[in-house]
Amino acid sequence: MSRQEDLTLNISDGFIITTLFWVVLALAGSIPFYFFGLDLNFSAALFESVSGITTTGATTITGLDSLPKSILLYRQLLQWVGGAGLIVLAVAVMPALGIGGGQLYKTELPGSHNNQKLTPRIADSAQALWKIYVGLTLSCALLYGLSGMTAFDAIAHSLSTVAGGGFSTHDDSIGFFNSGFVEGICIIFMLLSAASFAVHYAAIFGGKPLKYFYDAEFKFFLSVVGIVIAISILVFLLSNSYTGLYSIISTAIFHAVSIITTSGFTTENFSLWPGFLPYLLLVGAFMGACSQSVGGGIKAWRVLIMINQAYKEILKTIHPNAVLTSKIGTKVIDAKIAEKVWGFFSIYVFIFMFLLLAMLGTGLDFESAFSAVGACLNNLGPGLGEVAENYTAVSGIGKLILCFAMILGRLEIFTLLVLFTPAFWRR
Amino acid sequence: MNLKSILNLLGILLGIFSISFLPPLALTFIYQEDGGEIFLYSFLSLSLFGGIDVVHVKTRRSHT
Repeated sequence: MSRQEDLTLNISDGFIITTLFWVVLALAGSIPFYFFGLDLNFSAALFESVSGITTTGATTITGLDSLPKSILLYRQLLQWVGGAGLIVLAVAVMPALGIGGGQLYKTELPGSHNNQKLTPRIADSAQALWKIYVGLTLSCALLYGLSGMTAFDAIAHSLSTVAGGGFSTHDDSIGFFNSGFVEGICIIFMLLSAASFAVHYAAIFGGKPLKYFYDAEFKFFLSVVGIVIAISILVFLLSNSYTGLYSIISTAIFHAVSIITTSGFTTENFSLWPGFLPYLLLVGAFMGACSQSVGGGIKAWRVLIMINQAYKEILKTIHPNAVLTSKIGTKVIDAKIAEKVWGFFSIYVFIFMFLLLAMLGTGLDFESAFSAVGACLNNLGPGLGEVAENYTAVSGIGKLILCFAMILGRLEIFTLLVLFTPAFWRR
Repeated sequence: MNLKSILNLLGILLGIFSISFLPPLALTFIYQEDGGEIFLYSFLSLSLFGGIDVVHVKTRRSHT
């Protein structure tokens, strides 16, 4: 048997490696949290690690401002490594092994709707992704530094901002800096990290800098963010929650972007916002970021397809004999893709209900349980109620359930669930 | 399922991941903080585990 044949991976191996990568790294990553003297038990240490590596940003640690810089930087690094993800790590490693990594590429980016590699050779793709990811991180760190952050805070926050993570070195998150400049930089990089890396690639390496403006998914994503911002501003104005238009607009923009991109940074406790606004933001996080990005959620392209499909069904009710096609931008959506999207959504809902019942079983109230599952399954971070600021109120079993939810969300459900099917092991 | 490939890749990934313990380790020296040994032992154990994993797979492969 040749070396090449010896190390050939099939699609089953791709699923196993992808899942093992997150599980093993989460376990290994929990070691410092457990032994550092943070008074975290096993479930809390694992929760913190899983939250970091999946770029969720939910935390069980309080008193961040008084913690040693080393453990704070470690939390931020976990998110950065998680954001880079298996696509960059494995794709960069595999060429050195002399084996093909197409399967990994496919499973790491299950949100991909075109199944095309960024470049013909996967090693080139890895290099391109590294350049984009590192470039974004350095740019973000530099701008944070220019905004007045200390060098440590600038580097630490750039790691979690570009990773779409939301971990901070301060209990008050970005609100600690009380700076419109810092918030503006954070907003820009949260949006960039929520965009598809395929779009970044096309814009940076493909000579299409305007790609952002005519990519249908990104445009749809920005539209949703815009609608949530507009509604938030309107509710703030009607409820007299803030004084000053600048305060209203900046608060609305920052939190809408942060929550919908599933980054999870805050400048204040948004769970205390008036009316339905906290739930509106949470619903926005269910949609989440664009495909092939570091963000979480169901992903904008799936929501777009479901809306298209639903609209098509309404039209069919009016015109039963009409031949209609679903489109995203100029691309016609194959019926099989729409079927897969609805399949994903139905499993997503089923899993959500199952996890919600499990969390209610641990003694958490409905609002906290609902938002905790939503925030973890969508890799968002902060929830509502008892989990608005941190997850210390969640029981040990509850934390383990949420760890499962975070990994499920990061692997977009199918990648992990497929391992629990007998058919997979019979292959 | 190709167990050798999976183990080999996991070993390398663990080895790479262990590098993330080094910047915090450096900070414990720079700021003279406690906890440096935790990052050091974590780095050594993970890189060693990853290294053994890779070497073991390569040794077995050379025998086949």
